Amino acid sequence: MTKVTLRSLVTIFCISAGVLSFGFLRGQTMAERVERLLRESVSLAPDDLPSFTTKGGMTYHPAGQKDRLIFVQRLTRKSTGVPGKERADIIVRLGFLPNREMAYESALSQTTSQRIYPDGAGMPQGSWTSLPIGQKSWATAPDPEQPPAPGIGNANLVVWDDQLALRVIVNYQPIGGPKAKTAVFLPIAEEDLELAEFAARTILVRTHMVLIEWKNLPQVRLTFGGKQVDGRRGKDGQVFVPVKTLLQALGGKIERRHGSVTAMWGGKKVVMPIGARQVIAGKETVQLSLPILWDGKEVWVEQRGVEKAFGLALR
Amino acid sequence: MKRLLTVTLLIAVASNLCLAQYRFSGTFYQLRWGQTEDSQDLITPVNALGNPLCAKMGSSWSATLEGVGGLIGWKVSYARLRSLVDGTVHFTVNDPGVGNLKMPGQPYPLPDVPSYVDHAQLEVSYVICYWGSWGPTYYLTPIYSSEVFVVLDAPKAPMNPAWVSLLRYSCRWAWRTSAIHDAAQAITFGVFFQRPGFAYPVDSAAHWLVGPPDYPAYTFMLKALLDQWNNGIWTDGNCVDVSCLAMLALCSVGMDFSTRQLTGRVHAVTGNFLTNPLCPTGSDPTLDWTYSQWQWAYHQICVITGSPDPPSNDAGIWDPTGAQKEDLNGDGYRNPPAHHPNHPWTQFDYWQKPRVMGTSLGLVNNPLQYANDPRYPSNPPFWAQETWKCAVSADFYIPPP
Repeated sequence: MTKVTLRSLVTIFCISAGVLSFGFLRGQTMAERVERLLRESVSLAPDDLPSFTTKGGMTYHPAGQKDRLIFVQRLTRKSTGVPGKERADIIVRLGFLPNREMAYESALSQTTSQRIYPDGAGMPQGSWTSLPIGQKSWATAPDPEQPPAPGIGNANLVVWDDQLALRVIVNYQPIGGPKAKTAVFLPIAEEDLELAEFAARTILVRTHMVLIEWKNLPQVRLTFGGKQVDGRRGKDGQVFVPVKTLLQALGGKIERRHGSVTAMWGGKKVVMPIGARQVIAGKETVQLSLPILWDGKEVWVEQRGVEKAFGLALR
Repeated sequence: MKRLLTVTLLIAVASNLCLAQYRFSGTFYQLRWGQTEDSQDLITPVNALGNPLCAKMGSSWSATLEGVGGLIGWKVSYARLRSLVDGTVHFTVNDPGVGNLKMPGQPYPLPDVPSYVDHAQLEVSYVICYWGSWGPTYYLTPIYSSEVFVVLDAPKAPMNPAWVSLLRYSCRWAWRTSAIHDAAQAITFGVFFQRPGFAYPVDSAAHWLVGPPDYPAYTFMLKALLDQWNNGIWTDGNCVDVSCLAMLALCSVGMDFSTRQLTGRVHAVTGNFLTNPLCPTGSDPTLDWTYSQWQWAYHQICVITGSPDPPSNDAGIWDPTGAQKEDLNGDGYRNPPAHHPNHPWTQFDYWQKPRVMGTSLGLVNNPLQYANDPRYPSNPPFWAQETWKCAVSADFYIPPP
């Protein structure tokens, strides 16, 4: 009798929970769904960046404004206690603004410094690896070769891409840590700049994949030289090609170092920076309507970009 | 056993019911924790035992207990106000026994609030007399404590209400000061010498102020910054960050300060001017090698709200971003400029002194700064920005460490 009662209670609880959660999900607005996905799908995992740990990402509406959403995440490499091996942080802050003009303005305002550059920004244009990212980017970093000095434990990357404004900061703690009388820093290592830029590229493309509802995009069969691969068709008609799968089928080669993918086939070498809106084929660049995507295993590039860069025609 | 339980229950009831009614009367100011942006952040009531208190220096105050739960009489049995900065005991009250009871609502005067800025702790225990099951019952409460911030005057916008999280810094920086210029100088020095604190980045990027379109107004991310320092983490900060924090700290202890961006003639190619050697915040100004020249397009400092428009030597400047090796008379200084009647740092001279080529005092080394530059035809002649105050926020901004 007791067993039956307990089972009944569990059954009732499960049904109630199911009904409640169905109602909850059905009641979610698009904005709430995007916010949840950003928090859950965009965050970098603790093992995404070697030696950095993270508690995950969080989102908030600045000053309570519901039409603006900010995603933030901290990645930390803890101090070893040895002077010169102090704590390092990578801070990622991604703003999702109501339109692209506002996002550009937001990005520009995040370049503020005590200097002014020709485009009105407070930082020079570029990225830490010199590879393109987003539609426009600005970056500062100390010379990795310079000796320890004040003020060099910090590097900034600001990216504008459509409705997104992204800032990534790498912060070192001074030699001696919290009790240092004068803050002298080691310059940010090149490897850390590459990792932090990889974090920026990953978060940027994951956000785009949430926004274009990547998981729901229909598959499309592509053929070249008798080989077939499955691409994805975007809502605006653009077709995304799985470059790694394609090149492997064609006998080409693909290499990835952090956020930079290099594809080689038919005597051509094409650089595909994740999160950039262009592929670089030698001295030529091919503009894309969406950034180069990366889902953790595969690199996805718009069909026309792949075709122009390699001089092939997919059907 | 039954009696023991009843007594325990009565004590618990008396203690808990009455705790909410322990109050102070005097000159207290509204506070908020500085932890969230919702209404829970506000600390109410402003004068309740157990809550942090913000009191005007030198003011009189007293303890009170309102009549609830059959209260007959009460008094302060023990009170002590002790500085959390250096342990100084400002006063101790010892009033043992059950004589000298006050009526409910009647004040029990305490020695005056210290006559200078301090961060202190007040400990109080009470004797209360109330109708129990067997007639009048006396009860000695445990020692309760409140954090006390002693300030010059009512905190000023945007630090009204002032944040507890910031007062824990600003009251220490301005500790033992009682006059506006002493306190302003001490806070300027406090921001500059805070360890861990700001370290000026060579790229001169701003980090803690966010404006449109993300926020409706330029907003300082104070909670995010203090979370770093409280966890032993140094932060980057340029003149905008450093002067905004200094302005907030100055306002929190009751002084009405604003920030102001100054600029003047710049080099045509770079759009920047070159400073005299200065030691940026985060570095030790006693060491010669920490001084260097910087290329800036503008510089932000603190001024008293309502001070004359530049260029004026009737306005002082408080500049925690960088230390100057020499003062405006050419004497050894090695501290951040902070105007004081005994050691003036006035705006016009601070910008460049003397106004000749190869100048060595003040901020701008070159180009030569002169008035009535045709590129800035309006009055004031060559200074760009109005005085302003940032808003302040406890939003996440960056995740806590």
